[in-house]
Amino acid sequence: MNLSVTSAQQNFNRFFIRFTDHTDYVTDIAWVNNSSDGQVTDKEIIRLYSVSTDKSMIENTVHLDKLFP
Amino acid sequence: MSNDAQNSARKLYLSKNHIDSIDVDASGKSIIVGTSSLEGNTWDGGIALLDNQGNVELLENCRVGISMVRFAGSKIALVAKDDGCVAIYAITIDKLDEVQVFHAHDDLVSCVVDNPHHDSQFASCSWDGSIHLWDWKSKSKPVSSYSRAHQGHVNSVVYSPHDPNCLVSVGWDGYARLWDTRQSPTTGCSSIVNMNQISSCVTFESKDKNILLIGSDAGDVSVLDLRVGNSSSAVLCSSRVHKGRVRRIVSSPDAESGLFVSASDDTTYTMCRRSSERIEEIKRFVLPIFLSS
Repeated sequence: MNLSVTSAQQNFNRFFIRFTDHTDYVTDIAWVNNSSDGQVTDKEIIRLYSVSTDKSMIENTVHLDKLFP
Repeated sequence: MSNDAQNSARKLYLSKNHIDSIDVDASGKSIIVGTSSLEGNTWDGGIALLDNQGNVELLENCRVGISMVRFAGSKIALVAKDDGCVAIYAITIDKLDEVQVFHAHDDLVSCVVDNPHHDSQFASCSWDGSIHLWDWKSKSKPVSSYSRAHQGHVNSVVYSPHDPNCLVSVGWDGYARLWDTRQSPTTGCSSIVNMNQISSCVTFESKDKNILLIGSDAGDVSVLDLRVGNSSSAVLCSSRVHKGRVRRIVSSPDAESGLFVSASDDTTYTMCRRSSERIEEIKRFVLPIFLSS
């Protein structure tokens, strides 16, 4: 089960694209409102949490510049 | 038990359960999840509060599967259960305290949603075909009920972000129904659009609050314009984004972007953007990674 906040890992830039996957149904997803987040204020950063019947919860941090180069 | 040991024990408990629902509070610092598991012939489940570093701060075994959990402010959680109940949990420093239980439905509660215009009001819908509106501060019975809102399961319900009297539901019968909560239950349905397929989830778009995003059991995401009314032309566009049921659609909190993500039974979640009458797939998250367990 992955409950670590991946974007906080020191070996990576916080604002990297992390493509992850679940191995079973993705049951729900939450999109963090950056404008109200004390840690991330850049609107170009998207933070998503997904959960699944594969018993995992994953955080994805997506940099919009890399989606729309 | 030390904090580290307690956190490990809570993570171990969570790791045995399907995670069926997640919500993040407005500050982005607290996460709540609802879980379920099957032990023998008995469904079990619980809710857990995590910080944004993934530490499990609070855990509560509900002894029944949890189909949906949502924050209502930072200190209240709405919990939809498989046994037809909706529970209100107060979030305190040291526990998740069940302060009220509504014996709401005769079947699984498929969705519970906070009314953004009233602090204590929320709506629930169920596989029993009904929708109930509640005020958890003042009444133990529904403020209003739509007992036959849809034929078959009601899968999802959402309040309009700009009209406090507007509610939208979708269900097994393939219809998207717009409800005026000021009207009586018999006359409250002011608009019906036939989506021609089982609709699994619905949300309002952040960019244009007259636009609905509707997911289907077949994997489609459809865009519906409420201003068009009871007509098939209200469906502006539709796209087969997934290969399985669309479980949830979430619109970007940034209203300008037009982005949304959809989560599906096909094991992927996909970020899309609606531009005019077209759904553009931005990125499909499909690259597999190994998940620690």
